[in-house]
Amino acid sequence: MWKNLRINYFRDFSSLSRRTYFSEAYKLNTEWEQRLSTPILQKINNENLFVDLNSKFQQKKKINAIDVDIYTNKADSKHIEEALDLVQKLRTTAQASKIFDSTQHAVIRLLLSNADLLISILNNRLDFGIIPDNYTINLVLDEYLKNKNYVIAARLATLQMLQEDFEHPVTRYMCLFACYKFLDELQTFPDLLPAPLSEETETTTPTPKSKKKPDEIKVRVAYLRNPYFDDHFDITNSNHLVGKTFLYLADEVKSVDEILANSLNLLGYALYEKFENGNKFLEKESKSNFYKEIVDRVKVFAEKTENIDEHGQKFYDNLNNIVSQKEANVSDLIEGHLKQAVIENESKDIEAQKKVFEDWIMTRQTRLDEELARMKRIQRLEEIEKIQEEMKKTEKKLWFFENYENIKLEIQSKKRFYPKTWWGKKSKPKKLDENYIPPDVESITRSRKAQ
Amino acid sequence: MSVIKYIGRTTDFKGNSLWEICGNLKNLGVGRVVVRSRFERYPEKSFFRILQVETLPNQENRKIKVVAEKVFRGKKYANPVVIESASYKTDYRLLSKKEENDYCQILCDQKDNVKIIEPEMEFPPLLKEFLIKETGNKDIKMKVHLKKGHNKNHRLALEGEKADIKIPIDIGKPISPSLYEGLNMS
Repeated sequence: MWKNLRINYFRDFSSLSRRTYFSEAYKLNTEWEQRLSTPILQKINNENLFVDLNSKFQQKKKINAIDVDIYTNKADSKHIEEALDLVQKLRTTAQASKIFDSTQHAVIRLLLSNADLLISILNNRLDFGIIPDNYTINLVLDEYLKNKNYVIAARLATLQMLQEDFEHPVTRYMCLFACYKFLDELQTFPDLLPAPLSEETETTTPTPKSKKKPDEIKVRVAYLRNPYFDDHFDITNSNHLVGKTFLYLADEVKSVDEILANSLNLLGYALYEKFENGNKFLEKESKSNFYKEIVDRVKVFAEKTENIDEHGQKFYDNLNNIVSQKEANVSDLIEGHLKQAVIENESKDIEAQKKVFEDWIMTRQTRLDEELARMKRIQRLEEIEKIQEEMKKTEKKLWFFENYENIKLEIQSKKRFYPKTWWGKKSKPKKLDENYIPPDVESITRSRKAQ
Repeated sequence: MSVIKYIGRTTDFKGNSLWEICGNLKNLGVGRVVVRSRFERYPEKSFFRILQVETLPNQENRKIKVVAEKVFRGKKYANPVVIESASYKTDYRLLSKKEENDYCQILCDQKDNVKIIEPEMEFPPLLKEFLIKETGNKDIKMKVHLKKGHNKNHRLALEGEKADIKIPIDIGKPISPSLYEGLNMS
């Protein structure tokens, strides 16, 4: 293994060649392939497994994390769509929290070459839940930095910022390097570009005096949501994302290089357009050192942006008050930190990750065994219940005559007595005839007396 | 071009539901701090520190089962609480790791804001007259029954303790005093 460790970056390659920061050994391809030689994955046929899992999901709306793990680990480039579909289905069930780390790693490895799909999946955390861990993000960033694809690498850095996770030094400097190189080709990230307008809306011209309201589709929702912008996951402006990443990274590098931290803060506030905070920062740090290269870059932003409010104007004016500006090639500086971090961490990470792969193989086996045991238990319980029922029936038949009296009593007790309905008539109150004139008693008796 | 109009119940909530927060985070947000906007109206700090998360099946307004340490109005609950039935409420806000340190500076001393209530109060006037007739005791007082709840902000005064709050039985200040003109209110 140590023979394979070609430390590329010590050689003087020209810019056309592809230079990785990690060596080939970091990818741990052989160790990763070892998972395929385990008995579980050897027996699996992906097409059949997908059909089974799909039909089971459609019937019961349930899917197991272990099944998805087995599928994604066995999947190759032909099965990407199906693997993603299964991961999405898992995310909609209660088992979503039990997703395996190996599933997430396997999916990212599958998508390593397909940048657009990778970014769209990593950005859609609610539907997929694929979030890279330290080793995986280093692997992916290394790949894209090697290909000098700074747009994608910077996008990955912003995704890492959303998790607020720059603990691993290599990740930290890779993200910083990617974002800094991205400044040279500052653009909207491809997945955040607005969708192209559909042809219909372009061709229809609005009638000038139409009283028709636009078609209103009324959708019933349980609760109406009040508009809320959380300024973190909701950010869609590429510049803001990169700016916020710089602000986070500035805090991370403060202990190592204060000048760099100050300069990155400047960059961050300018890109993120938080000029009020930027002004406070400048007031506090007006006497500190900054890198000239970065200050110049920030001044260039001022020229490029169209509408600058008063805070922004004040910010850019304050830039001219910066006294001490140090000359340095910042990208080389960052790259130096990156290489240093790689040297320090590479072998440690490789060893750790090998163990992690072995653990994953073991947990996969144990979880599968647990799952099979659980299902067997359920089956056995069902069978036992069936047998018990049959036994009861035969017992009834065999002991009929002994229990004859008891059975009669049982039947009697089961008899239901319903309250008797009363079919009688309700007595109606006496209805007086309206035209009835009561007889005049006095006149009758008088007439009788007269007789 | 068709416009979608949503019809449903309105709420005062400002924020995201717990699923929208935890679903976006690594490890489903274990160890992070979440704040409810409705609790931010109190001067004291209230927040939840997430300990465990369990997902529940998908539905409109998806719920999740979160076990969290609750701090409400500056007081930390002894046992972790389970947030499940309130997890759909789009009222939660995630605190960034930088904000956590500043925001989570609690805690007010429990003894500071306790309101001590006088354990006896006056009878209603008519009942008082009856009781004076029956017992002859002109200074008869009613015992205050204080319902025990989660908040220990109120309690009855103990023997010899000075009370902050006396529970009044009179009308107090009426909203429309013109209706009470000419009446003799003591």
